[in-house]
Amino acid sequence: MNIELIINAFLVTLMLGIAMSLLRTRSVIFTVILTSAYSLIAALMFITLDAVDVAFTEAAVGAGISTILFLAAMAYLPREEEKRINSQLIPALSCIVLGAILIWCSFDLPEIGLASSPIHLHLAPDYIIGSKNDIGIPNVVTSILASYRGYDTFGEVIVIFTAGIAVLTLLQNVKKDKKKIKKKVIKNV
Amino acid sequence: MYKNPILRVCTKILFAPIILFGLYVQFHGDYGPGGGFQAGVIVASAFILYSIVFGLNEGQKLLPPKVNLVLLAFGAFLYGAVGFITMLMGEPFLSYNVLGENYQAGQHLGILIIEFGVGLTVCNVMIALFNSFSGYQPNQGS
Amino acid sequence: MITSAMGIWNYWIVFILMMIGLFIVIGRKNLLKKIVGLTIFQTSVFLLYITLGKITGGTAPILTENSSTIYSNPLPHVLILTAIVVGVATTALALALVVRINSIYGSIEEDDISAHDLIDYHDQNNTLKKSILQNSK
Repeated sequence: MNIELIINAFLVTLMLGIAMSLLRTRSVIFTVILTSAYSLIAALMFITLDAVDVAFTEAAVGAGISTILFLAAMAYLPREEEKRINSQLIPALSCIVLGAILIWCSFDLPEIGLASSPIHLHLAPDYIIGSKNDIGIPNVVTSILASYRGYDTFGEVIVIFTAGIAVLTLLQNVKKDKKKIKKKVIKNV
Repeated sequence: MYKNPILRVCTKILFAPIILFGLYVQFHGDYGPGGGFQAGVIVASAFILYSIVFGLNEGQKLLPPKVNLVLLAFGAFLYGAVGFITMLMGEPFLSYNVLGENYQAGQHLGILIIEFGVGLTVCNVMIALFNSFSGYQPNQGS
Repeated sequence: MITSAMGIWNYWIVFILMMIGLFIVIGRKNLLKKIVGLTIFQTSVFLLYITLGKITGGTAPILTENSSTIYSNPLPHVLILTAIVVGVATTALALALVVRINSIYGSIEEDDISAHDLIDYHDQNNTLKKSILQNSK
C-alpha cells in the first residue's frame, strides 16, 4: 500500500476535525486561528500531492497574509458571534442531500494517482515536452503560467489589481477629504 | 507599535533577509518552485512586519502610499506593455519569442519581465490592503 | 479492498469539507463567519483539483535530466496557484465590505441588518406620504 496515500488520508481527516470545530465555535479570534491552521494543513497536503508551487503559495498567502487581513479587520468587528436560536434544519438538510449526491458520484471518479485517468492524457504531456524543447525552462508550472496561459495570468493580475483598488476606495478615511473641501470652499469664497 | 526591544531589533535584522529571499524566489522561479505571486507576498510580508512592529506611520515613511499606488498600477501595466510590444513587433499578443535573438531567449526574457510585473502588483496590493485595513477610522465615515 | 477505499477516501472527505463550508455560508447569520465558510469551501475545491492531478510514483513537475521520470499533472497546479492569490484578494474585498457595513449598521448579524433596513424603508415611506399630503394641500 502506498505510504503517500496514508499520509494524505491522515491529513485530510485532520482538516475534517478542524472544520468540525469551526462549526461549533462562536468566538471570532478562534475562528480566524482555526482557518489559518486549516490552510497550513492544506499546504502540507499539497506537498504530498506533488504540488510544490501551490503549497508554497498556500503557506504564504492562505496561512500568512489572509490571517493578517482577518486579524486587521477583526479590530473593527464584534468579538463574539451572537447566540440566536434560529432553525438550521433546512440548510443542514440541503447540505447533507447535496453531499450525499456528490459522494454517490465519486464512485465514477478515477482512483487517486491512476496514470491512465482522462485528465493526464491531453495537454499535460504536450506542455511537459514543450517546456523542455520550446521554452527551455525546467519548472513546468512557471512556463505554463507565464507563457502557454499568459492570457489567464494577465486576467488574474487585473482581478487582483481591481480588488486592491476597490478595498482602497471602500476604506479611505473621509475626514481628510472633508477638510480639504472646506479649505477649497473658503478659498473660493 | 511595540516597545519590546527584542521585537524591534529582530524586525530590523530580519527585514533585509526576507526581501532577499523574496527576490530569490522571484528570479529563481524558472528553475525551482516560486514565481511572481509567491515572491510578491513574501516581500509584502517584510513591509507588513515593519508596519506592525513600528507603527503604521513609520511603515508609510518606508513606502509612501503614493509610491505604493504607482507601483501597484505599474506592475499590471508592465504585463500589458509586454503584450503590446510583441504585437508591435508583428506577432500575436504575449508571444515572447520575438523579444530575443532566438525562440528560447525571447521566451526567457518575456517570462522574466512579466513575472516581475506580477510580483510588483501582488506585493503592492498586499501592502495597500494591510495599510487600508489598519489605517481605517470607522467613526469618521458616513 | 483497503487500497481502493483509500483511493476515494480523499474525495469523500473533500466533499464533506465542501458541504461544511456551504453550510457555514447558508446556515450562519454572522457575515464574518460566512466569509470563513467561503474560504473553507474554496480550499476544499483546491484540494479536489490537486488530488485529480496526482500520479502515483510521480514527482513535482520540475524537469530533471533523467528522461524516465514521471511528473504529476502541472495544469491543475497552475489554475490553483493563481486562484489562491485571487481568492485572498476577493476575501479582502469582502472583509472591507463587512467593515463598512459594521460602521454604518452597527452590527454584522444578518437579522439586525435586515431589521434596520425595514425600519429605514418604513421611515422613508412615512416621509414620502407626509410630503405628498403636504403637496396636495
